[in-house]
Amino acid sequence: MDTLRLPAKMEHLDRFRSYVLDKAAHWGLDDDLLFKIELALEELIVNVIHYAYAEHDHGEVEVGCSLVNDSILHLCIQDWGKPFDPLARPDPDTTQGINERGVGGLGIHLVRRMADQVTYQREQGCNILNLYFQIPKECLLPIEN
Amino acid sequence: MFRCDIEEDLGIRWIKVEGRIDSLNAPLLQREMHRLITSGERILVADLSRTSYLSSAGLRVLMEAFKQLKKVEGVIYFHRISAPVRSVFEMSNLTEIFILVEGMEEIQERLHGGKSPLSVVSSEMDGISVDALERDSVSPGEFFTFGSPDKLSSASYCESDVATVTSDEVRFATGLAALGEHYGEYKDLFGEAMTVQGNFFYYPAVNRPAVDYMLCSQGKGSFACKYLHGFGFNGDYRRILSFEHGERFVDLSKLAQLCVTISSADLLGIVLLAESKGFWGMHLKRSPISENRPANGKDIFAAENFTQWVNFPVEPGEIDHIIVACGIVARDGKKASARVQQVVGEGKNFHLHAGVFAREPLNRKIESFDQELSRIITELPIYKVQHALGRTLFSRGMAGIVELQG
Repeated sequence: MDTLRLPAKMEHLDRFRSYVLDKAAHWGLDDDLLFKIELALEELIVNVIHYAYAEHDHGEVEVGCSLVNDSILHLCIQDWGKPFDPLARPDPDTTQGINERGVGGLGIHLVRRMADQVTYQREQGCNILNLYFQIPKECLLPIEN
Repeated sequence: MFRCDIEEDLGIRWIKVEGRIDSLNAPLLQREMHRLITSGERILVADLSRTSYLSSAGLRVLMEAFKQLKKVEGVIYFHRISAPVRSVFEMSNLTEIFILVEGMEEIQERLHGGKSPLSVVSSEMDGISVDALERDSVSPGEFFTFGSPDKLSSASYCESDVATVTSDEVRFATGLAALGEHYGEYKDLFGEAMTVQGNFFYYPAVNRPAVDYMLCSQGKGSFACKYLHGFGFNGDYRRILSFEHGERFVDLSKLAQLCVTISSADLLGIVLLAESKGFWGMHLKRSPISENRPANGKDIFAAENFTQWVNFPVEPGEIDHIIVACGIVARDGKKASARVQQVVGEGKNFHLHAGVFAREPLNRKIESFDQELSRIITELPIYKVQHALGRTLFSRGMAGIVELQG
């Protein structure tokens, strides 16, 4: 899987985005799925930018994107910051009224709802998040390469 | 791509967002929302028909605007949300909470559907737009004074001058006061004070003062405050005004005049709730008791003593803060009773003390005057209590007017 590795900075968000979206568009995914992938990617990258590294760490984040069995899009996001499993956080209670509800924690909640499967691993000082999106049969173009 | 245009239609502001509301653009939208809300807008329409993307960062901005407006009885409508926006709203369970609208007619219906049961008269007075509610069958309130201001300039008050004022007897008061059990403990603290709806606030006359207060909801029933001198009033509001500045901001003197013009009584008790556009307030730096009397024998307002005794503003401050002021306004200072003349001072016709509260937007709906006043005095931080000067400027606010005998 080829990957894109850049400093964990807000200014690089757009590059990660076009890296993933260009591939996904190339595979012919529909707008609905593209939106889900794009949203999950932003939420997780922003999470790394905000929480993984101390301010002067100059840490990096790496994104990989590939097709599995022509039916699943696999997105992999890695960083080398402090151990942090975003999935371990309890989901915000979205059934509460607006006054009781905080405005935080919604990002990860959206990620869980977007992807069909999300896993977290910590390996050799690295946080690894794997996201899998099921691709409906009819929207996949024949792969050229 | 992100574009945010502010337009006006149906008399309200529309925020049209085209493109993406992501982590990069959300702060721009937040700035626009904040600007509109702090400039007094209470009804907003967010047109999200051309919003192609929304992430949690953008959603947070929308939720914050919704909450902030709700707190001041405002509202934000979400107009013709696009498919991506709808899916994010749905996944966050917000479609039932946010007000989603389709088309102008629906907004118009919501704006004018429920008619207010109160008869509010709108007018323009001296460039200021004023909504006024008059309540019939409200009997005149009672005006009273405690102590005498005569010993102030010579700083010669002593223990026997202290008037104990309890919170259940007096709803509104203005004067020099303190809190405490024994004279020895509070004698050096007497400073500008006000009682609003039974809640007491004062600014102790010490170095680097911080407001001390006592809320009636806090304690068990009534409590006593110690006034050196002051005045107060009881009674119900005969009128409630809501005002908004025109080309220029409104100063306190003009506002006092406006209250007189709109009323029929010659003496008014005023409770003002307004957004400051430059507050001018002064306060005593020392407690005016006989132990502190100036050694040179001159009065505390004499040039030699003035700066040691009085904190007098050289420039306006507290812009955009909420000001709660309480006091009286006389139709004509010269024709008023001796008691009133003594309280307002020579050549003047009003005397108000003001509390400077947090910087927040204000709900200006006449029917929620009491609620908004309670919210501010019980929930928001207060920074100062000072004697308010007539040149203080306001952008908008409300005033409760009690018509008084005396």
